[in-house]
Amino acid sequence: MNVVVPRFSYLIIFGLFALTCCSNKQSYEFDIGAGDSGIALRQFALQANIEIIFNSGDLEGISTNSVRGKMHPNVALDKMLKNTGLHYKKESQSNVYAIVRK
Amino acid sequence: MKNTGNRSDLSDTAREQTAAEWIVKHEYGLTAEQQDEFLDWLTEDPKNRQAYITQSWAWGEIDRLAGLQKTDHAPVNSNLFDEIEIKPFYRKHAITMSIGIVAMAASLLLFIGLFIFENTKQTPQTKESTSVVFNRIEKQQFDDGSSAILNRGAVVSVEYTAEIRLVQLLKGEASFNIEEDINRPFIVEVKGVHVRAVGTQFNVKLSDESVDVIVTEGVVAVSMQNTDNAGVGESILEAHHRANIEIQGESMDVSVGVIEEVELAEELQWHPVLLEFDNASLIEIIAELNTRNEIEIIIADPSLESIRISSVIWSDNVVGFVGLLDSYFNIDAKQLDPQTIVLDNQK
Repeated sequence: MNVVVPRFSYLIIFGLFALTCCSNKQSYEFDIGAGDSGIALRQFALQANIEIIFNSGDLEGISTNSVRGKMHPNVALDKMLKNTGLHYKKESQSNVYAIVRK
Repeated sequence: MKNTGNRSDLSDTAREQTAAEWIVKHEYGLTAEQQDEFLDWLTEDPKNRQAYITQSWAWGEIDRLAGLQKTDHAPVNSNLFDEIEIKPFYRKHAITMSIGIVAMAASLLLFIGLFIFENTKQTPQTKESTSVVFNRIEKQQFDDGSSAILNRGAVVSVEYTAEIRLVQLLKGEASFNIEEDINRPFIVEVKGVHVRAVGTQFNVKLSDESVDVIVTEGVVAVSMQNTDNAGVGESILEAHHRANIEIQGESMDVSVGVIEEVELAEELQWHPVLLEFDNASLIEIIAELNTRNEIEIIIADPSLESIRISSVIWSDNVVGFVGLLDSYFNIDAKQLDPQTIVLDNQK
């Protein structure tokens, strides 16, 4: 059985897979005001339809920044948590964002 | 209601061989003439359809074993092919697919590499579980806009043609949300029972000896297919009705009754929902997850019960949630048996 394979075709296939992998950066429309971090972070999760978890005690008395517009959840969280003493970790397997104190 | 049918003259082996040949023809695309011939063969005897489903499913399993699906990466084991009676198809297919498999394997390696690279900053990983009760619940979207939610362990086979939208429930439980199409009925076939719907929502659960159908919206018709592939003893089910169908060989007994709102909610509690907890105690969250899943999470150390957590999490993401407790709340999560997780203080 003769199979004619165009040169570089596999590179194209690999490239498409890589593009698919790296372009998995879905953006969402956010509209969250500055204020109580617990409320704002749950709003963030619901607006992006993603999962989030945090220790309520750790976030007590901390306010997060406002974020508005269409962006990737990571970018939105970076803006919300900037200069708050909080940061996030995203679990690769469960795809859940955990918010923790620095 | 009972229905019995005659046995077909065609031997099972010959039937399986023909089914395998049709699968090969489908792989290369059917002409209009072949399409008619195929439908004639399919409707000639219900066992033909069953043989076709079984062979299609077997091919799907081989695909999975060959690592062609995204969720499983089992290595190719050519001995597995020998155990199945439709060897000619697999040998023929193996030649044409070998180059594709090499390309796919290399692409997967690239994909995994990029994935690891993207996640190098991440810390603890959740614990893996081999038990099906810990899997996430699958949502499947069909080409016509209809959709299905597959409960853990459910297996379906989908066959859409110009005349019919056929989904075989081979195992487990699934809920269907159907887009109306008066020219193409949507049928769920389960152990010879046909559940026919037009623009409706319903749940079908297959147990060892029975099929349970619950209608949440619209109307469905439940019937048993006889050897002429005609619906026999059709029962019409309206919304908030359930039918329990006891299958005895090639006959069935159907009992139909009303299902109350509370019972309906309980029956469909396995559907994933996004749960929101605001400063809730761990014991409250665990109770909610236990109610919505076929698992039991036990808190071994009472001091953990009052830990306050805020979270937005899918109700079927038990493994994800427990993994986070392990990673960020100093809680040790251990799987005690196939359906039980024990939470304890990290030593």
